[in-house]
Amino acid sequence: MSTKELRKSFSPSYFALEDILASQTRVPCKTEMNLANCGFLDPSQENKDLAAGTQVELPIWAARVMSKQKRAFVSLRMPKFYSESYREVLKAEPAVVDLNKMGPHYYQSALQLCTLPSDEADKIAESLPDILQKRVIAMADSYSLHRSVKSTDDISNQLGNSLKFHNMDPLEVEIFNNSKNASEELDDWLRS
Amino acid sequence: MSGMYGEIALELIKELDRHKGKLPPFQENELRQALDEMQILFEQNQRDVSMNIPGNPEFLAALHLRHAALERNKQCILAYLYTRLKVITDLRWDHGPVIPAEVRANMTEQEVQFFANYNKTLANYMGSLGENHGLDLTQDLKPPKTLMVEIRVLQDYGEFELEDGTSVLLKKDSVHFLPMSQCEALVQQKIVEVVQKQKSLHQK
Repeated sequence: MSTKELRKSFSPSYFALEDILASQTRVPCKTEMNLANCGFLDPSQENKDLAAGTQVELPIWAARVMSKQKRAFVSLRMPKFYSESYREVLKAEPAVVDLNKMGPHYYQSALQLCTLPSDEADKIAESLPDILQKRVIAMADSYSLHRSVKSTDDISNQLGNSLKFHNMDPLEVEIFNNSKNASEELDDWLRS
Repeated sequence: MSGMYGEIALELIKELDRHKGKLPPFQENELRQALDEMQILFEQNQRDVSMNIPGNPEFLAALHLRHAALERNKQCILAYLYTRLKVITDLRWDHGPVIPAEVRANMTEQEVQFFANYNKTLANYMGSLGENHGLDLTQDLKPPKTLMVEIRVLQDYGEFELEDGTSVLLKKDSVHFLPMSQCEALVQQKIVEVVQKQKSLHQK
């Protein structure tokens, strides 16, 4: 049904729950000037104002407003899981990383992080398709998408290159479920 | 110290995300708290704008942050209400015009009203279709799998001529295998009913 499609969709819908959840990922920020009445952003201190040079973590939606290039109140770094060292790991062994723990909306958050003013943004954008592609290939290699497979954890894979179900990002779970359904439908059609 | 803005409104979203496609109880308390937070944010911004030294960037930060928080709260609340309504409209297609009692218990008065109106609109529209016969759009949501269908006759009808010229005798309780397209009208008039197969061959 079309309504169900809409709910799943990401960018075109203001109402997409996933988009809202993904934009809650916290970004490490450093204040570039004294910020009046913003003391509450740093729970470790009790001052009314936030001094220049303080480290705070803001959700993406707040970081976006505070770091606008024309009027940058804060400068930001990319979150730990999107840093170069983690990207290196994902590049080397994409299938063994637990994106569910790192995300849980790893890809969706990344799409939003890419729009923030940071030198890292382009590199993250570049790394994403590669990571997803390799992980989906690993997914397909590891599990025959057969009806008997309830979840990917059912099969103990001996190859050591398996993508575990509970390590998958919601996007990957969706790809997996869709692939499984399509494969079943093809089987049904061929058999009838 | 209070936490970050928008946390309560986000709880609404998280709750819906936990119950994908279902209708959890309406969180009136949280909704009210989120609205209260918006009211405070708005008043603080109003106050700051009226007394601020123009262009002092130190004060502007809080102003921008509060405005973003207002937008954020608004998005969360609207997404919450909208997603619930989506679930409710889907109910009409999956369960028919009567809401199961356990779902109704989780709905607000306004949502019940919305469902009734949706029902009415849909019924009016369906009634306007198909040359005064009406057409139940909630039937046959999936395309038919076969051209032929097995039917059981509910009342004596007599001879029924098919498009290819042959005719069958529709007698009460007799069972026939007919082209789907030609017996739809008979089904609608309750002269025959479709025999539900336990499992069609393709579905195992």
